[in-house]
Amino acid sequence: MERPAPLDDHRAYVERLFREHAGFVASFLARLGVAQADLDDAVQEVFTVAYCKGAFVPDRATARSWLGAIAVRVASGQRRRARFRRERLEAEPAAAVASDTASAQHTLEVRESLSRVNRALESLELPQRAVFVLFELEGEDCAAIAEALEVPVGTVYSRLHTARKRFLAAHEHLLLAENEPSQRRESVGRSDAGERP
Amino acid sequence: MTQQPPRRLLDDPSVAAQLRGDLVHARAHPTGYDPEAGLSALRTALDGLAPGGPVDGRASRGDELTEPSRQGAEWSESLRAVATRWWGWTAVGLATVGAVWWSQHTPLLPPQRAASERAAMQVEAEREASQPAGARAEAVATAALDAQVAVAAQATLAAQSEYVAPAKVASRAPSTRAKSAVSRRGAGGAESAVTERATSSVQSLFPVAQETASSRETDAATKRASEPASRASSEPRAGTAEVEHLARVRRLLATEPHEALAAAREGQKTFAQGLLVEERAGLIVFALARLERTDEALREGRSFLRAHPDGPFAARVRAIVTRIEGLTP
Repeated sequence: MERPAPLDDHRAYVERLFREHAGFVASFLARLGVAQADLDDAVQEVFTVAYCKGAFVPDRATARSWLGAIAVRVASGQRRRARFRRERLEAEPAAAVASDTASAQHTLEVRESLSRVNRALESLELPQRAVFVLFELEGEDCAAIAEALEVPVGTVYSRLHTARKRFLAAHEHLLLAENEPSQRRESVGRSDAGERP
Repeated sequence: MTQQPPRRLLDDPSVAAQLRGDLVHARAHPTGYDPEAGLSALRTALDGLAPGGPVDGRASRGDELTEPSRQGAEWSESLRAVATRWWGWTAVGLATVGAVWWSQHTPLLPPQRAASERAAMQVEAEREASQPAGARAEAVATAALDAQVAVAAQATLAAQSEYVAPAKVASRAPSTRAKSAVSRRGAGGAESAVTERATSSVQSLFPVAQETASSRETDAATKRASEPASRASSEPRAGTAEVEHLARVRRLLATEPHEALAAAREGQKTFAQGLLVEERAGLIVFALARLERTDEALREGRSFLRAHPDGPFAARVRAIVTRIEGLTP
């Protein structure tokens, strides 16, 4: 567990946190729905607030979950502002995938996967979404999330339960919607064959 | 009864393979971000907050009631900072006033023309004295230099003090008029060469004056080009405003606790849903303690500890509450 830095080293400590966790914060903010155009500003805001708050007081929270809790608040502010755009979520991670994956087929699969995950995440309210992303995608444990969000661990379980239910339903719905056109084509093909003399 | 930590969907074989596969991809492809590029922007942002520094629970101890020497040190530090700023601005102001006075008291001519006229008179005098061409050229160049230095100095001061519109700066920038007038009056190629040398030395002496007009044009063009990208950052950012507000409260706390208290309370209304509610609440307790408003400090302190028993301010607030409780019979 990380310890708070002495005050003299506070700035260096925040810079170290930035080096180690800015990637996580950026990714987490994007998964919370912050648009790519606003991502740099949002990351800066998270670490500036972290600086103003002083060192975090570690108990069971990790630096990541502490920064994650600040990021949730920042994302909430972004959500209230007009530049929050859901539709950007789909295209952006796919571009990154295309550049580092050789196989076109694999790239396509990954694109579709990311798109489904992002669209399913959009069905969640921010508190549930934050807990779901931190637990399922970022690998944080529930106690650390509870500590960072300053809520009882039971609340984390409850949010996670709700988030999973909605996420699973949304994911299933998306898969059905993707398969529907091909099923329809197949059924149209079958009926065409049946009508043939 | 304790609840069992849930198993992650990724690790749960009862979850559909397609869903687990999607989560694996999502986990393996975080958003790309370059921390080094972001770090320089962060440093700039933190530099802007430097006078206030971090609002850390340990930034100044829970000793508001008992450590006047520390407050004295903070006072003198603030006064020194204010004095430094004051002297800086005073010097700029005096220089500007001096330049304006000089331009108005130079014999009823605009500075460029007055200096050019002086240069011309000097050339005439030198010609009469039948001095060698090289020496005369140096004299002309010196006069031209005088003229351009004067104009460039004014333009620089004006640009630095931001009193002059871009068009005015452009018109005042080391003038080709003065330069060409002097060159016309000069005798031969040697004079022109020296004049050019002098001009370039002036340009290097006063880059601000030279660059002002062109850089403004470039800035405008850059701004136009990057308008969509920069629009986001030019919009008011609630989080940034809150951070700046908190830094101001903290600065005030060192010297003007009344003002700090008022600002912090105002901040609690303005940023009621903000990120730094706990920090402002802590600063309110510290301000009340400094003002020796012990009843209020006790009330606010207890309320703070109920809401944030483990936060970074808790130890200091608890110390204040305990001390006040000890004072109460």
